[in-house]
Amino acid sequence: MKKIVIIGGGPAGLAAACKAYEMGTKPEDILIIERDRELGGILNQCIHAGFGLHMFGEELTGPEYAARYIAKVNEYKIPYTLNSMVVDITPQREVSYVCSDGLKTVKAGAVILAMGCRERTRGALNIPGTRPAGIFSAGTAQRFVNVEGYMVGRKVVILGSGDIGLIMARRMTLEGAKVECVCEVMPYSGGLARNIAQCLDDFDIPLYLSTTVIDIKGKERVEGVTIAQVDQNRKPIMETARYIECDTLLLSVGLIPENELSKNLGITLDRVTSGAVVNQDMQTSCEGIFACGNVLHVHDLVDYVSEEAAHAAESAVKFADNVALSDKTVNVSAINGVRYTVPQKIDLSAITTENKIFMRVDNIYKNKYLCVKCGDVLVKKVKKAHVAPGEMEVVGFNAEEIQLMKNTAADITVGLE
Amino acid sequence: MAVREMTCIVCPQGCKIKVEYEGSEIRQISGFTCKRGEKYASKEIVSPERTITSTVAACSNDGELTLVPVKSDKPIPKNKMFDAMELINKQKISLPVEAGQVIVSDFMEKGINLVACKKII
Repeated sequence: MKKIVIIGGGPAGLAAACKAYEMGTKPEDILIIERDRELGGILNQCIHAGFGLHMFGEELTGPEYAARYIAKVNEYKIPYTLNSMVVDITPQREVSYVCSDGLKTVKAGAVILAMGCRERTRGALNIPGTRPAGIFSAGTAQRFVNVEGYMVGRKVVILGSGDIGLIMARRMTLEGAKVECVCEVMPYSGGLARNIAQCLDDFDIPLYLSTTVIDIKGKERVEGVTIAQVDQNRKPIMETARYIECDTLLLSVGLIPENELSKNLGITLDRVTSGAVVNQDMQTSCEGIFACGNVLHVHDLVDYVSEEAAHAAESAVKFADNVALSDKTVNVSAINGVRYTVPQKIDLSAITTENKIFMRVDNIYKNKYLCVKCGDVLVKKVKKAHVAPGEMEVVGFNAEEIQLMKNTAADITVGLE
Repeated sequence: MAVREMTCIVCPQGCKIKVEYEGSEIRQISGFTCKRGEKYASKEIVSPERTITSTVAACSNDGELTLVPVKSDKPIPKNKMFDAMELINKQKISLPVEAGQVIVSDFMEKGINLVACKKII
């Protein structure tokens, strides 16, 4: 029996473990279960700088950011098991995992899901063409180049302008490859503006918006791809098709929270985020099971992952200690240009100034107001000069706004006006 | 007078900054929302610089090869990025290595070090 079992030893799992300890949980009552050979998760392959500005006030590389938390886990003597893959979680919170000792089962007072996300693949896009070697998801290429020490190609086309694709455009260029272009099917980039500047513009790599790959050529190895512009319905305009010679195609076309375990468990998932539906305690529809980080919704900043994970751990420890958590919830709905919110449920009687609502918009908008309404009552109106799908938005509430919501006691909507 | 519009890379906010300048003399900067952004914008006109990150090959005692992530502990001149990569790729180190350990001192410029970003034993 463990009080807190954490699935995943990446940034979310590490921050959750540290917080559980800091709340007074004995280290031997905590267990981190990690699939990889080391802690740190995807941060280990993110060797670029840019992490931790919000959390530590300085710009760290991925491994350095992870090391801050790993050092704490070691200092607190929190146990973890590596090369260990969770295969099942029951509603009674029995967690089964496969490790070098075989199959093990541990009963948990509370479970924290921190499994992160994985990349969308070529199969999900249905790109026609042959199936040669040389097609990688950007994150896989990142692992090959930065951790395993294999250069994946010399002449590269990147499809998708998500942050990993942009970062890999720079990385491949620095390592001597020629990145021909980055194609993005949408009329705007899915990555952070600063990554367009420092990863593409710095190296004169063209970004083609409203453009996609419509064919892949090559028998053994990729020989080239055909790209074409798309119309408003994202249908290729064949007259614009042109062939680009290359030996590698990297795909940076979206991340999907890795929720197979959650699905087996019967947890209610949000159709937009592909993560669990949670309340402000980060508790899922299954009692005593909490979720945080990219398994809940894909973040663009690790700092927010750590923050969210600490919050989930706080609730998980309370649950395991039989402290009552919120139960009477109202729904939080995303409307008018907002795609989703996390949490999706809020208990107005328990909400504090600590609670935040995270969200993403569905398009680029300029000079809009982000409006939070409780029933018909406008609770908060924030001016936004610029919002984009690639940049997560967040709102918190002051005491006055919270009181207003408590008095109104109705479902909440978040939208642009 | 020249005008340049740029995206600030100091933080994820990515402010659009406009700089009016003549030669290396800055006349006016607008659009920034913090001091660091203002400093970045003028630096970007006068002498642009970037922090470089990469990996260095390392060999453990039992002959296993691994990669050590490295970075310049201060930004280096932007036009020296590829020279920097050439020098980084020539490095071979032996394990163990500590985070912060200097791999190359006076890297590209005096006072800048290439340091390891991860402890690997």
